[in-house]
Amino acid sequence: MENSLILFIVLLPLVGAILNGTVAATNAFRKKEIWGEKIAGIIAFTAVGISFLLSLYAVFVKMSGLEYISCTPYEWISIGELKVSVTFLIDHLSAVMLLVVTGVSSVIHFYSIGYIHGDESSVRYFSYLNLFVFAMLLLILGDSMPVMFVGWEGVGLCSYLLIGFWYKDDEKAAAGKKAFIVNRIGDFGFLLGMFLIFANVGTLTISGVNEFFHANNSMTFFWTNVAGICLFIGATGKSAQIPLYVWLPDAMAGPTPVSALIHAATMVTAGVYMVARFHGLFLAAPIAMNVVLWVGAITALFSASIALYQNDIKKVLAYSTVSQLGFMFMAAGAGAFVIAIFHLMTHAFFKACLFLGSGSVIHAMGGEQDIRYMGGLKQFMPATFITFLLATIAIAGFPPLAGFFSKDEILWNVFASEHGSKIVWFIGAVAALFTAFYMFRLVYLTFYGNFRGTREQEHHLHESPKTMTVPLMILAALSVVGGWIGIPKLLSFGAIPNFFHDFVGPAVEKFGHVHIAHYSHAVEYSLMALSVAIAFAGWYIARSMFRDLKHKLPDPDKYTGLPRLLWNKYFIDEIYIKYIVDPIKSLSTNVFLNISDKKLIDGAANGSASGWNKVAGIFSKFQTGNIQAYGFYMIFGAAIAVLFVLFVF
Amino acid sequence: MDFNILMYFVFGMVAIAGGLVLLFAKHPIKGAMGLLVSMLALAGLYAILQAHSIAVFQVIIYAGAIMVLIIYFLMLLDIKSEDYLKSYAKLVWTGGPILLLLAIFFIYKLYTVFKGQPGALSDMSTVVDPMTVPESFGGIKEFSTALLTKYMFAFEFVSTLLFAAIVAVISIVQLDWRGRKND
Amino acid sequence: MNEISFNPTFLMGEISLIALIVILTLVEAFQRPIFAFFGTTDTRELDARNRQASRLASIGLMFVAVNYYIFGRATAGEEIILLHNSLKAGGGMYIGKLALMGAGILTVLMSSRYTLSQQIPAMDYYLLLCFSLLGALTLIAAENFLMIFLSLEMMSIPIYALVGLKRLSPRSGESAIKYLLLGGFSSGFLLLGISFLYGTTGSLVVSDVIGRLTFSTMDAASFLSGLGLIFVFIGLAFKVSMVPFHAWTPDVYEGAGTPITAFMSVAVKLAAFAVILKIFAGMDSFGEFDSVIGVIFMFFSLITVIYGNSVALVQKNVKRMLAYSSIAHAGYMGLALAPMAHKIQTVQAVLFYGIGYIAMNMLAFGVLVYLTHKDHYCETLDDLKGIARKAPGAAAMMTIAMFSLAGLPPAVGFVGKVQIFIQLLEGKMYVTAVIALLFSLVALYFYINVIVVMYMREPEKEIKEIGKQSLLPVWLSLALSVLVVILLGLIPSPLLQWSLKWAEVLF
Repeated sequence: MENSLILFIVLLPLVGAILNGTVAATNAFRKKEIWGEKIAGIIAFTAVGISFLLSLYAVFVKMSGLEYISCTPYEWISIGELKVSVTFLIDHLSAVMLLVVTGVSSVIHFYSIGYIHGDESSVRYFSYLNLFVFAMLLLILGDSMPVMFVGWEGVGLCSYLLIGFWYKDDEKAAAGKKAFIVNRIGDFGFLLGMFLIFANVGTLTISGVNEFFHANNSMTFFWTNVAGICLFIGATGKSAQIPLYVWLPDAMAGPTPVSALIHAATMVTAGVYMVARFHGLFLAAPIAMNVVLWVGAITALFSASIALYQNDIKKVLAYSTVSQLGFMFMAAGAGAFVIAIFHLMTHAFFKACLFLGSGSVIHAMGGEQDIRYMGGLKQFMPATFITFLLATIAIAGFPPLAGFFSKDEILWNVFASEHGSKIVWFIGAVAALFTAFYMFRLVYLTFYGNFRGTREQEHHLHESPKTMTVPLMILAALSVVGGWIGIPKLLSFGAIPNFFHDFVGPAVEKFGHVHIAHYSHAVEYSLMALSVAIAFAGWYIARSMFRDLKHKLPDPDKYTGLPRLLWNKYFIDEIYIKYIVDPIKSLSTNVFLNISDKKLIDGAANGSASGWNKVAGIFSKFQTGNIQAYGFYMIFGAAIAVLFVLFVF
Repeated sequence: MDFNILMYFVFGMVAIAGGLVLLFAKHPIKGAMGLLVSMLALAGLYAILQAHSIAVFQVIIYAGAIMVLIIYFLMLLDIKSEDYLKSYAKLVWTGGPILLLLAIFFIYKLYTVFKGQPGALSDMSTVVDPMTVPESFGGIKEFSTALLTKYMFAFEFVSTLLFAAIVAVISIVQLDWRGRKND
Repeated sequence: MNEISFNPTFLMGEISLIALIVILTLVEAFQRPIFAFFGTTDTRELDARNRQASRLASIGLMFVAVNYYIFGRATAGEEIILLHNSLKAGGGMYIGKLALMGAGILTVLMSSRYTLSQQIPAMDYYLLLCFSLLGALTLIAAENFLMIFLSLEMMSIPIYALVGLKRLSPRSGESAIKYLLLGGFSSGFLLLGISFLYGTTGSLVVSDVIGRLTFSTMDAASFLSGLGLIFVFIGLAFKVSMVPFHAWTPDVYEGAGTPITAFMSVAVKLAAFAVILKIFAGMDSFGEFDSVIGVIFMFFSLITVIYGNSVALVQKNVKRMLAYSSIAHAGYMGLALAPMAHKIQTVQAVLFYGIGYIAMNMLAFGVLVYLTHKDHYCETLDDLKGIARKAPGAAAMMTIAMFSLAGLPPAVGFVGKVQIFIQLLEGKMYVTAVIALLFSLVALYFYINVIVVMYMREPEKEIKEIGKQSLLPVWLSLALSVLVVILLGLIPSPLLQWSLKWAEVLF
């Protein structure tokens, strides 16, 4: 059904971004402030907040009883067979994503007002943040692949701008660049997939693509899978999966609210969302599904193991994010798209809360991020501590908090689904154990024991202002209750309906249903008990090791064996640089540049020479060999062209 | 007729020989002489093809006026002969064999293609056999008629082009003293 | 199509352009005598004369553009061939002419600052620019090979001189000589090709030649006309700088004044591509020879894309980087012709790309012109370091230009690339498309690098104040091009319509 309300939802953040962006540019140019951070923050927050309220209205009032609502402002590209119209579509899948994004964004915009206080370029910051929300909405609501791609690129750009926000720091600029380039590799996959689909399907609307693969898939089995894998490569770039996860930990160089919004709650989940969005294609491509499943599982375990030994509070959370995204892909790979989206939602709540909590901690510690120099913060910042703890319990998977329901469902689906596998289930269980361990390690090292920082830092410790703690509380509350809308029937004995499944289910199960192997309830209950036990085990080990830290944490440089490997993140960055980046660089420098790009030769023609001498000087350039060489290239090219002709005759 | 064809090939060979001299001469003046020979041979070719006016223009304009200019500039600039060849000797040695092979292949192809169709050259051309063209062909009258009717626009366009070229040359030549005046 | 010998309505634009040329010449030639006549001498400095020339040229060209628009619209209903198969006019042709006029006007606008800062005698400069523009305008309208050759020379000869006019730089003269010699060389190829085609078909008119070409193997006439087509391709490939006929491009782009580089990279490229399309896009008539032409376009375009993007990676000089980028873009445009069966969409895609490329490249070079003043060349990446703090507006514009050149949405470059890739996909050339896509990914690195340098690096030396002279015209040109880049990226349908109209005339 046509509904122009959607247009307002999408465009409000853009308006905010343009307003603040113009002012930021003028401020910098005129060296005079038109308005400062306060008004900028309010504008940005209002834009996103209203967008959130409108989304609520659109989803719960306008869409009630309908399958979807959509809005087509205009046709973007129309070339021959290709017709791309800018269509925004809210169906039951994008509705969830829309609410999560605008909701979490509103909270984080509010938090940013307090966090960014005092920064000289805060107006610019808010304009980027709003621009990000706009791009994210394009990604979510765009019903054709090119529009989705615009959003896809846009969020990448904003993330890049925001990572490198404090660009005076070279390391941060480098992190921004890395994020952008790694994402481009993913985009390459996405574009390839898009081309493949267009070449075979002839349409680029997402619903059309799903319909095609469901109804009469005339694409060969091989190419269907290739298309699926290409799209998944795009997803690995954006959602930081192996082998393209390397940018996300570095991206933590950006401001903390940005990490919370972009690198935990919204942008990085775009890959999962995209896979769910193309479920029609993926269900027709079992090999691609398997790839999704395995890559997700391996990433989950791999990055969880790295997180065990990290000392930077944000790095731990970053690797945790990568790991949790791995869980979501596991679910998607097993065909449980609803659960993937469910975990995406709960994860958005507790991970945003954790990041904002860490921001609060870093704020109090005066910029210190190393947990070896923290400790005992519990009594200084109780609100931060309690919210952080709640979110930790949620992510570790203790019932009845949000993380428990979603994670348990993922493991169950991986175990039982026809696309799943028992080995993957085992990997997931180990990763869940690691998760519980490193999260409680983080909590104990940060908030328990004695303060290990400098005296000066201790003096400055304080609870953060209300603008920062209120968002924390909201998110913590959501981490607690967020899972209750998706309680499995098994647990409530059918008494409480599984709201989430009923809401999203029809949207992603329209094109085929994944068969779940039948197990007795006993198996299901025991697996559930096992995942609770895993969470407790992780907590208990962490507690016994770190609760009262007697000795100093060892110096990471002195690690040997496995800890050294984990501390250095399996040396993946070094391997990439040595075996991929350096060869490309030397190829273009040594091969292309030296062979053909001869520099101009400065020289003889200087001002003092008289006219004719000057001309002669110019003529002498004949003899540098360049012109003959250039002419020779031409002849050579002509010879090749002529050869083509000769071979025909 | 046989004589005509013989002369056609003779002039062609001479033109190529002149070009080779231009390429490989150790001294620029010798090169210029090669060019002159080449141009005169071309004039001969035009004459054999009944394009009398063009042949005359070729002699007057290229072999006459343009050559004088070229030689004048060469004397003025006094380019030393030793750096003249050195620079592209390397290129000749590396690229020469490849191009030579290609040329042989090319000639071979040309030979096989034309061997299959003996009359091809005269068939394909709508200007037909040089022997059968009307007496007036290539004369100054026909030439000027074509120039001022069918190709009138092109003719006028060339005059604009020459004007543009004159402006281009003047602007470059003027550059120096004008700049000095203002510095 | 009816043949009318001469109908001035169809050529009003060209006539007014020639009138402008005459006026400029007369002003330049007679202003000193007129001063002398009134008993005074022209004591004005070069700067003052340059300003006058800039005003005259920019207003004059805008007037000419308006003429093109009015008479173009008036004659859009019919296509005719004028002056004994010399020029084609009417129909959608005016779109192409307006695009070229747009390139010319943008060049003139940014030149007003550049001629001042580089002490270039402006009147000669604008005169030559107008001549070159005239050449480009007749080139896209040329109906026979003679006119194609003459227009190509008309377009190129003034540029040889324009390249050498940058008085303060010794490289300028060197690159002018290089361009002149290699340009002559390429003209030789073109003429050889034309004479082969004339020899086998007996006509110079493009449509006749293409109509009369028949191809069969072991046929002498087909053989020669095949070679003729190849040589014509080489002559034109030189102008659009396809590898390996590109070698002059980096040197000349670096040596020439920045506005001239901009003009060369867009107007010459677009006009030459229009001719390539006119000759090669109707390839269905070439029978078996289709595949060869397709393979040739695929091969040369692909190595152009690979080479241009790879070498641009390691450039330190922005103009040189943009030169390689322009080589790569020629490759993308050529790729559209690689599939064997050509439709009108092929032509449309290339023309769209070319027109979009005008706006984005003009934007990139315009920023460089804006940042260059009397004693500060803004040409290398080092010169751009930290420029965002001194000139945030210019940095933002450069960012948009880089995005568009890299083919990122929502700029016009994205839509252009999409169309090229669609041509490849519809022609089932998947491998080619993947390679081209891969190298557009590589290209991103050096485009983004410019943005990184502008925003995230500390300036090495103190950045001087941006000089204030003649800022308004430069801002105007920047504003125009940025509007085109963004608006046509967001709403490309008008440009799609226009390029289709133009394509209908060429195809």
